[in-house]
Amino acid sequence: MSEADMILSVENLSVAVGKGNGRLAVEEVSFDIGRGEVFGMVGESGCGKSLCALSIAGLLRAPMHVAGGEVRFEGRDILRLPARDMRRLRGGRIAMIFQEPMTALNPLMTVGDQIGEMFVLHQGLGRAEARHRAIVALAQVQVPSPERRISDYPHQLSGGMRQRVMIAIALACRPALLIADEPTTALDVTIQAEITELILDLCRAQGTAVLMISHDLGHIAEICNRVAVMYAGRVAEMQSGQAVFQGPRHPYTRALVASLPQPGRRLAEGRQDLAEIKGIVPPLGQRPPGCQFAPRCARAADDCRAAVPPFSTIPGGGKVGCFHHD
Amino acid sequence: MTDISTPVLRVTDLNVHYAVRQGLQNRTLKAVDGVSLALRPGECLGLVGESGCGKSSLAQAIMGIVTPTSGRVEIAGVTADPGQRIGGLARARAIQMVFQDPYSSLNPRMTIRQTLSAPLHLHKLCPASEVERRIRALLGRVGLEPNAADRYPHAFSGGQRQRLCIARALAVEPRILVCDEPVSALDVSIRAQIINLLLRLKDELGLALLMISHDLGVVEHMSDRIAVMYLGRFVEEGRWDQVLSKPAHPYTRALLASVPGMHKTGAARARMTGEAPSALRPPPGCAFHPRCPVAVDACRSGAGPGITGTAEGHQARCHLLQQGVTA
Repeated sequence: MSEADMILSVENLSVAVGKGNGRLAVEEVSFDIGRGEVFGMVGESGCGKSLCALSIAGLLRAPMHVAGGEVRFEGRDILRLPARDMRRLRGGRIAMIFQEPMTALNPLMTVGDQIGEMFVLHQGLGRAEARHRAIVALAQVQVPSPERRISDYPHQLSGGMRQRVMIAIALACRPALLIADEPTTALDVTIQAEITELILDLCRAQGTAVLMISHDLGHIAEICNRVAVMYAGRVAEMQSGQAVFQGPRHPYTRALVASLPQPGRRLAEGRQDLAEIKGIVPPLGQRPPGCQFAPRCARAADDCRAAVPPFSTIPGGGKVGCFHHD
Repeated sequence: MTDISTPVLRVTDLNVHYAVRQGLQNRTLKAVDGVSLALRPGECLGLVGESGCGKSSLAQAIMGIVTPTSGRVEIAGVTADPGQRIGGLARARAIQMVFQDPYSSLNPRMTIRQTLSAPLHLHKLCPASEVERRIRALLGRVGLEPNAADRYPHAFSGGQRQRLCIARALAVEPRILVCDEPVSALDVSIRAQIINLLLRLKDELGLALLMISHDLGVVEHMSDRIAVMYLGRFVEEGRWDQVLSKPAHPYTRALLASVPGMHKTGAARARMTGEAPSALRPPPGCAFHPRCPVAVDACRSGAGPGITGTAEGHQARCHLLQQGVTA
């Protein structure tokens, strides 16, 4: 990918908990996202995917802090941007959707004011114009009778409707990058598909790139151009969405795919025993030296326990961080 | 030897209604509305539906945690009278429950030994000299080391805690295990361990499983039969492969279509719009009609559709089936 096509480039990002270099929760994560690309980041709880997202949005709070690396957005190093400039960027050029719409929305403001605020703050519009634009934005996220709904408070809306409002706020200023951190996890299965489709459709129409974060590998693989699989603070492998599910290269991803009860699989192939991954994800502070997955890995040898494996390029695009990958 | 053809759990026309005051009006919330089911030893019934559809209320009524408004619950041949919370201890010996969150369902101040021996003492299942041996056996059953007995819950990971919850449930040697989202709170890489364990227990002990989950992949993998619940009612029930490959109810089809991967295996792409209505104000006629892509006039008024059998042991509640229309 050439520099010009790149919207976001993350290089060797590390996030520490506690003073100094403390304990590293995210270690040397690198990836980049192209204009209009849908990039997925998948991993179990505690793997550092949300911390990456918060670092990019400049929303990390103590005791968490960036311990190293660089995040370039539209060519600018945004980790070293003054708070004022970052505030202007966030909401304007970089927007974010969180998992729980109820806690992310202000319960004391009508949804119309919360959407309109974006236009007032980032585009300098007057109240009347902002209100008008808020109605249009609500209609865009397919909230029925938006003229009435903009006077509602968040508690008057269902979970699905609240998430639609979040999307309207996030996309109000046509950002170049949308960070969506588990946007459908708190919703019902039937609503999940609708919300995902809505996010992707709107972003495609506006040319907004998406960083989609989820713990659901199957879901991520289906909707993303490229996917980074995270394990215990590091990227295990990065491939195209299809390949990561159908041809995983890292032993962790392979084991994870084999352990999933995939919808449709028993119908097609009969009941296969699910492959178990022994052991547990190492908690922060007890991560092993060398490869993080080595203690649970069937292929682990002495070299895995001694050093962190470097990334090898996968033919056809992508990279995998394993000494003994396929 | 247990007779595998006689249901160990039989629920007949069960209703759980709550009186809810909304402003000046008294309304009835029908959390469970006329549900019947039968569960045989060694069988797993998967229960799916959106949040608020009454899955957990049904489980609680079966467990005796809430008092049903009417209907019959028969556990291991013993009938509960309608409107009565029946036979605490006897019921608890036959039916046990595993909850979603293993972090909040173990007492943090009790060692595992205390937690596991409590049901043994309470039900007077074995002499004091036997307790230690039973605890070892229980821990072994769920794949934990004997030395786990001396530790407290905080020393265990989520997956290990769920194993402990299962061991506690097994202590009384129940015939039925009700599992309410048993893997939803666990790390993805841990879920397979618990799913495999539950299936092994089902086969080895002849346990009957009532498996509540919103994850259709898990339900497909584990179930012998699948029941689909919508606004307090079973809208479809049948053999797992029939429900998944030949779904009879439009709601089931929409549910399957919303899962990535599932629709490729036969269920037609059937879009559903909108969200589930409130159980406080269910729509007239078939409760699903406002979201149904194939609803006709008959669905919008009158009584809800009755049960139509579509194949042996496979049934659904839909007007179109009653009219012989293949939707």
